[in-house]
Amino acid sequence: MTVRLLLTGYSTAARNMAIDESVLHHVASGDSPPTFRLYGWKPPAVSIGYFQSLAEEVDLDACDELGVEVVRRITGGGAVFHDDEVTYSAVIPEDWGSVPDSIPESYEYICGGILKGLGGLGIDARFQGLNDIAAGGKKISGNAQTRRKGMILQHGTILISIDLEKMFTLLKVPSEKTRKKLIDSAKDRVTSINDILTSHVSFEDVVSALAGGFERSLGVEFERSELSENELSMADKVAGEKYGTEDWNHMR
Amino acid sequence: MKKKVLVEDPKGKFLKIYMDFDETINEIVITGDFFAHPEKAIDELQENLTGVKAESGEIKRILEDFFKKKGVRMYGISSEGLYKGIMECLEGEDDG
Repeated sequence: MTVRLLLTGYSTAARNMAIDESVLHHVASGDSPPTFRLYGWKPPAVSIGYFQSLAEEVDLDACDELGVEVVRRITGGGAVFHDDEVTYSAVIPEDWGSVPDSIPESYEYICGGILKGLGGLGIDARFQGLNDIAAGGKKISGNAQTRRKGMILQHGTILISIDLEKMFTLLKVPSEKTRKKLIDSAKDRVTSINDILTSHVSFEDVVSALAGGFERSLGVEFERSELSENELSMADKVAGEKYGTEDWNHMR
Repeated sequence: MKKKVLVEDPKGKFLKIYMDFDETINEIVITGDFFAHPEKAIDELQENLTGVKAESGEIKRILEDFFKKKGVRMYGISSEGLYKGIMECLEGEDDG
């Protein structure tokens, strides 16, 4: 089976989320084929889960000062600091191939590609329900899924490196005292590719490892392609009219 | 009276609930890092709870009915966690 692969490089937070939504819309309408996309965030950004309160979770002044964007996702889950990482999104019909109907099982099914991709880099990782991947017992990838219009949209991040001090400056914490504790405990719970490997890997290295991992795990062949004209114009519109607005980002 | 609470759901996530109520619930906003499919189910639940008498029996019934509904799939959030949070709002001091 041939699946479209989009390598869209780095984009702003609003544009990244708008592209995912536009692809979802166009795969659902039958105008685009099932799609995997690999991308990054520039400038760095914090994304929050659909049900989170932006003002409660994120220190907006700190984000401003450090040039970090914020955006609400259409998927649930927690706040994520996107910096030195590769993000993927998969848009596939719910009844596509052998994808399980059960949400927990479909997370594991799609995450199988990340396990294979990390394996290709020499990292032994495991799926950890509901929606995490761990290496050496520490989280290296978080994932989130929504089901709309008969489609599964799953996106997630694979950390290349992580600056926990910066992350807990951007996220709100109950007090300065707990900030230190949270950073220390996160050091025991979170890892990244560069924490594990001795040789340096680039964004492009991780992108190609993940693309190969998804192909092997799902038994598909990727065909490199670009966003269609319609996908691009909807992405532009949705970036400006939804993901870039206070109404959306401060919805809760 | 306006109230905001943070409770740990037995399903493992933290829920932050905001409520404005007197004898009835005027407004409720359920936030957190949970998953709900479809997402708009949470809006529907908030609507179901709005205008309801602020007492435990009725609230419990609405929550339990809601979580029994077919086609709604929730992860990290449960009727027990929401009930606990809402009752903490109702029993707590005014946050202003």
